[in-house]
Formats: sequence, structure tokens, C-alpha cells
Amino acid sequence: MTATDETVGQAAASSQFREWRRLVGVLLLLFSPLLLAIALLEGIAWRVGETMPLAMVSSWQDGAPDRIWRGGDGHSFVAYKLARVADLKPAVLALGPGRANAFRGTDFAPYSFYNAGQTAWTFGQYRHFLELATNDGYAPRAVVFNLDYWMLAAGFDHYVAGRSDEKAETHIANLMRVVGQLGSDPLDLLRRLRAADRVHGLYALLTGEGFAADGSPNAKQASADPQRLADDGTAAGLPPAVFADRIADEQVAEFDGFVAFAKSKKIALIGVQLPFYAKILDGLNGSSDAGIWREFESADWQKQHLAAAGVIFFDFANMQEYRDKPEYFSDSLDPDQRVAANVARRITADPRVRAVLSDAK
Amino acid sequence: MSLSDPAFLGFFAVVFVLFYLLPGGTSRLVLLLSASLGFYVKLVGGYTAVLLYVAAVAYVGGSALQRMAAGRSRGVTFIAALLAILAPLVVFKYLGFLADAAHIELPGSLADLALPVGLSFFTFAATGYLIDVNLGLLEAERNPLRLGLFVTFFPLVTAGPIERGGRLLPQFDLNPRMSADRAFDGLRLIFIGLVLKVLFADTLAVPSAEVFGDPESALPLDKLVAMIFFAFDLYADFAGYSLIAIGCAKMLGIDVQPNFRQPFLSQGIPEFWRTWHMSLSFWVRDYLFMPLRAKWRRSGHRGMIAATLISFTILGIWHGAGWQFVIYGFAFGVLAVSSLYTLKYRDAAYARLGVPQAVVRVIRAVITFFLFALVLVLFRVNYLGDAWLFYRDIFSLDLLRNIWDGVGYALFRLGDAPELPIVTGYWADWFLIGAIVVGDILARNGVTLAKCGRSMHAVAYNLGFAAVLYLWMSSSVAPPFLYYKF
Repeated sequence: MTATDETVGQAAASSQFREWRRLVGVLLLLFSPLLLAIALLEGIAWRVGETMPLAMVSSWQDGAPDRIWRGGDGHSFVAYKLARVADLKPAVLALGPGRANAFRGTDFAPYSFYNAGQTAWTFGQYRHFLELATNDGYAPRAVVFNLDYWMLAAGFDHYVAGRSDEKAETHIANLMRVVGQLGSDPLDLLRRLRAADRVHGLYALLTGEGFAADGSPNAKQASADPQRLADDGTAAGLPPAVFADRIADEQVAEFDGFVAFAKSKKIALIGVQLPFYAKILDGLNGSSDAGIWREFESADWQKQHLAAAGVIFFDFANMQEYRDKPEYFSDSLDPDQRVAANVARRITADPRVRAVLSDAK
Repeated sequence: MSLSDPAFLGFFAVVFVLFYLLPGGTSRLVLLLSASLGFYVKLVGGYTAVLLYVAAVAYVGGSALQRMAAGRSRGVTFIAALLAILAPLVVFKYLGFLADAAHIELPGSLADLALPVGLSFFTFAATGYLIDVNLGLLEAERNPLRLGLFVTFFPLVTAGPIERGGRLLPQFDLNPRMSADRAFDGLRLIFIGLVLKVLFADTLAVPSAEVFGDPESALPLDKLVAMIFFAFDLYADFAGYSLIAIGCAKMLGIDVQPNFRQPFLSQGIPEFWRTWHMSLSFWVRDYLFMPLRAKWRRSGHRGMIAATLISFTILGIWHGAGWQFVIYGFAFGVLAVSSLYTLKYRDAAYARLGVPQAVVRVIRAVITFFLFALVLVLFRVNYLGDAWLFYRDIFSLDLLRNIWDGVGYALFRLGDAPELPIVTGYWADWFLIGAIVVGDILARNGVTLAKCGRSMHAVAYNLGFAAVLYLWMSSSVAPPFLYYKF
């Protein structure tokens, strides 16, 4: 290659570089307003905590005891609670639907505790949550799970299929939620950003409600109005008023699968049927269609299936101190914190549970 | 992955950068060919074999014809190659229809065949190449990679424009240097295409889908409005897609023919088809109409009419396998012939009435649009019977009653509010239609975005792209590209 060729080559490369630079420079300049707007949006969404990765949310929540989070579209909190479990690695894990929400960390002191409630409704979903939570080698010493009679009704899994979803929301979905809120009431959201030091997640920022560091919701449970509870929306066929002739074999098989998995991870299972109030109890006891209820409540069934499976079961369905006091329930499904604290005290005082948690922290 | 997906733009950005990092010639050819095949495999998986088959037949057929002197063997070779190239189109697209028409039941495997995306487009491109070689208009391409790229070129493979070998193949030397100006030109086309497709077409698709999905329930006025919306939806969708394809090619230094030229300003059906999906209509004109016209030139008007009707019917059948597409094409043929033979009488009538030329132009454009939109119903409906529901209602007194009720309530609050969910629920979409019409009028008169000042560019690009971004992010399921089934 001659000096001239080299000069021509360098000139060509130089002119190409100039063309690239012009292209990129003009595009950046042209789209700078849009890029700035996007940067601003991303900044707001991050400050709100809506686009923060859940592992970071968990670390943030560890920073102070009063920090709450609730973001996403409310469809599923599995990804969030898995992130918290991965972070905290609690000795005692509560698992179940919204009914599990009432348990607090203080109820299980001195053991480390996390409430993974509102993430799983069926035995299959319980198992799946544990599979995901334990895939890094961690395993809780004990899982306190809701064991309600209706979980053994045929077709129950189908009823709640899809509620438990471990996929985290995408960045774009979270960003669009913030965009939507900015579109509807920008000043309100911007005013609330000050509270984002303590509150993360758009829902939590707007309502003040979310999950505390121990996984329990901080929402003050609605005080039970007897009049309201008289018409509490309980529908026959839906929990807690599920009618079926008997316990379904396929649901027992699901339960057995859950138990077997827990055993394989050396996790002690503590099943709890929380209290119901009189309207529900009388309805179930008095109905000829509630064979499943009677079968579940029978000593034989509990002995054959629960005790034999090594599940420590606490059946608080008919707790006399709450049976006729609907003020301890926010609705027919959910006893309040006071009930949960009482139930937790009884659980942790039980010698079988003490034995299981003897060296847990 | 359609051309209007964010994933495609990311893919294209990578191809664009790599293209200009590579030295010209074979390396760029290999890059584009690999990118094209990768793009198509991602779309249709194993059905890529059909694309490769068509490209191979075009190459082998073209090479064979190039070597043969004129004569019977060359003729037979040409017919054989033509049939071989058209075979996948017949099998994948028309076999079911032909079997139904002949009351033959196909075996399950044949009945379940999916239509490879873009089959009609790349088959016609390859067929045109073969015909040009046979007629001696084009030398057969010796380099299989170049011919392969001609058939598979990723911006064009799924929905055209249907290019000609003579236009595209010479550009595959692929030696252009990176030019920011050319890149800007290409980006401008891509930007306009994205806005048309994502903002205009996807928005206008919603109301028309409601009515075409359940034509029995819709009132006549809602049917009329849905018909109009669909015509603009299809225009924005397809023109937008074509612009993205042309823009991508331009950024790679390849000029592709335009596909639309403000068709809704056309003064008659013949002009309409010279401005709508031009690559297809010119293909049909050059490879079907002109040869038939030449063959029947001694038959005078009858020959002309027959050539027109046959060409338009084939054009209709290209769009789909079903009787409604046969009628679709034939109807346009009838309209085109009627337009040609009545033009002088209509001109005389307007002159006698003293109608100003500007008004005549508007009247003609509106009538042409409505004729197109009416026939287009056949393209959109799922069943021929649904088209009848449309036509029955649009040409009924009930339509006038709907209009009367609507106007009466809107202006004077007479009677009850008529239940016209499309008319009342999507009134804002008329602004989009207005924007398309104004944009076309400006473009026809030479006022384009390219000629606007910097501040107008900045405003247009930022607002337009913000709208596109917003719609991308908020749509979890995008409406399908309407021409994908071809």
C-alpha cells in the first residue's frame, strides 16, 4: 500500500467517522426533549419505588422497621414475598391466602418470622412457593400454613388457579402504571413523593397501605360492624361456606405432595384452621350439604391424614372466645390481628412446636 | 416480529451498524442474507424451507433459461419453472378453497397447513424475475447469494413492496458508504411509517373490528362509519408498513419503489389502482394485463374489457382464497371499465352543470373513496354473507333514518339518543382520518416533512415518537398487521 493509498484510506475512514458522528449527534439533539422526558419519568417511577427491582425493595425495607411496600397491579405478590424470604431467610414462614395476613412477626418472637400470606391458596401453590423459596439451599424450620376444610373440596384448585403467579411485573408495566397516575393526577403524585422515604410502590404511596417488613399488611383492619357482618357477602359455595359431600381424593393427593416436599426439605408443617364466627359455624354444622366439613372435623380424618403425615394441626375453627364475637372479624373469612396473636401464642406455646423450633433463631 | 415492533427496530439497528462496519460487497451480502434468513426463521420457523425453495427455483430456472436459445424447450422450461415457483402458493393458500369448490375433502395434513408469512409477496417477486429473464429483459443472476437476497430481503419479504429483479439486483453491489443524509431520509420514512402504523392504524382498527366482528348487531350508520374507518385503517397500516420497509432499505443504500401515492385523492378507480399498493397493481399490469391486451389487441374494446376484468380478478384472488376475493377483484374490474368508458360523459355533465374543476376533483375523490371502501368490505368480512349484511344496511332507508335520528338528537335534542356506539364512541378517530387526508393533500402538493424547518422536525419527531412509544408500552397485544395473511 502506497502512502497515497494510506492517505486515501484514512481520509475515507475519517469521513465515515464524521458521518456517524453527525448521525448520532443530530439524533441525540433532535430527540433530547423526549429523552429528557423519559429520564424524568424513570426518575419519578424509581423514587415511587414502582420500577425498583424487588431484591432492592427488600434491602430498602430492611433499612427501617416502618417501611412499607405495595406496588404492581395487585394480581400477585409472590415475586415480592419471595424476594423478602430470600433476603430474611426466616426460621418460621407463614403461608396462605389473605387469611394468613393477620400474623405478625411479634406474634412468633423470638423466632425470625416472615408472613408470606396472600401468595398461595392451594396445596399445589404452597408447594410451588416453597420450591421457589428453597431453591437456593435455604429452608425455613417451620411453615405455618392455612389448612381450611374447603381446600379439600373437589374443584377448589380450579377456582383459584392463576392467583399465584411468581412472574414479577415488567419494567414497562410498572412504568406505565406511574405514567397513568401522572396522567390522571400529576400534582397529587408529585406531592406524595416526599413520603417515598418510608413508602415504596405506587399503591402504597397513594393509599398508605402496604406490606410491612414482616410481610403482614399495615392496613388497619376494618372494625367489625355487627350490622355489616350480618350482610358480609358470604355466598354459598365460596369460602368459608363451601358445600360438598366429602373430601376429594385428588385434593388429598395434592396435600400429600405438599407434605412430601416439605419433608424432603426437613421443613416442619404447622397447619392452622383459623376461627370462624357463629354464622359460618352454625351454617356448616346445620347443613346436610356440608359433608366435607364434618369429615374434615372428624377426629378420624385428622388422625389418619394429618397426624399420620406428621403435620402439627391446630383447629381453631370453633374457638369459644370468638365464636359469638363478630367484632373480632373484619369479614367472614378474616379474623383480625388480635385473634391471630392469640392463635400464634397458642401455637408457639405448644410443646410440639417448641421441639421443632428448639434451636431456631 | 413485524416491522413496527420495537424488537425489529433493535434488530435493524444492529444490522445497520454491522453493515457499515463491514467492507462492501460479499461480506455485506452475506450479512444481509443471514439477517434476512434469521428474520424469517424467527417468524415462521420450519416454513422457511418454502422461501428457500422459491429462491432456489428462481435461481435454477433463471440460469437454465439464460443458457437456452429461444424455442420450444425454452418455453417448456419456462412453464415448468413458473409452475414450480407458483406451486407453494397454490398448495398453501388456495388448495383448501379449490378443494371446497370441487367438494373434495383434503387429508388432515394438507388441510392444516399454515400460510407462510409473505408467501404471496415473495412468490410474485420471484415470478416477475423469472418472466423478465424469459423475455430477455433481464440477465439471469449468476450469483446465488444475490438472487437469494432478492427473494428473501428482510424489509420486503413479509409484505413487499414487490420489487423487480431489474431494479433491485443491480443495487446488491452493496458498496455505498455510510451517509448521514441518506440515513436521515430512511429514518424519516421509518418514523412516518411507525406513526401511521402504531398511532393511526392500530387506533382505527378498534371500532371497525367491533362492527365487522358482529355485523348482525350493528346499526346501518355504525356499519357505514366502520366501513370508512376500516378503509383508513388499512391505508395507514399498509402504507405505514411499506414506508418502514422502504426506509430500512434506504438506510442500507438500497432504493425500493414506493407503494402508495395518496390513493384517496384519486379521481377514479383506474387512477386509484395506480396509487394504491402500486407494486402489486403494476406487477399485474406488466405481467398480466399488458400481455393479455397485446394478445387480444385485435378484439378492440372486448379485448380491453376482458383483459381488465381478468387482471383485476387475479388481483383480487391474490388477496385471499375465497369467493369474496374473486368478487372483490372482479368488482374493481367492473368499476375500472365503467370509469374508463363513462369518463367523457361525466366530464360533459360536469361541464354542462358548470361545476368548477376544484369541486369536480373533490366529488371524484370522494366517490372513488366510497367505491373503494364499499368493495373493501369484501376484503374484511369473515364470510360472504356478512358482506351482504353490510350492503343491505348501507343501501337501506334505515341508514337515512339513523342519520336523521343522530343529527336530530345531536343538534336539537329531538327524540332519544340513538344507540350508535361506533359513531358516538369513536368520534375522536375522525381527527386521525382528517390528519391522514390533510397529510396526503399536503404531500400531493409537495409539502412534506422533509421540507419542513428544524423546529417543525423536532416537534413532529418528539411528539410522534412519544405517541408511538406510549402506544407500544401500553399495548400488550398489538392488532395483527392486516396484510400478514398474504
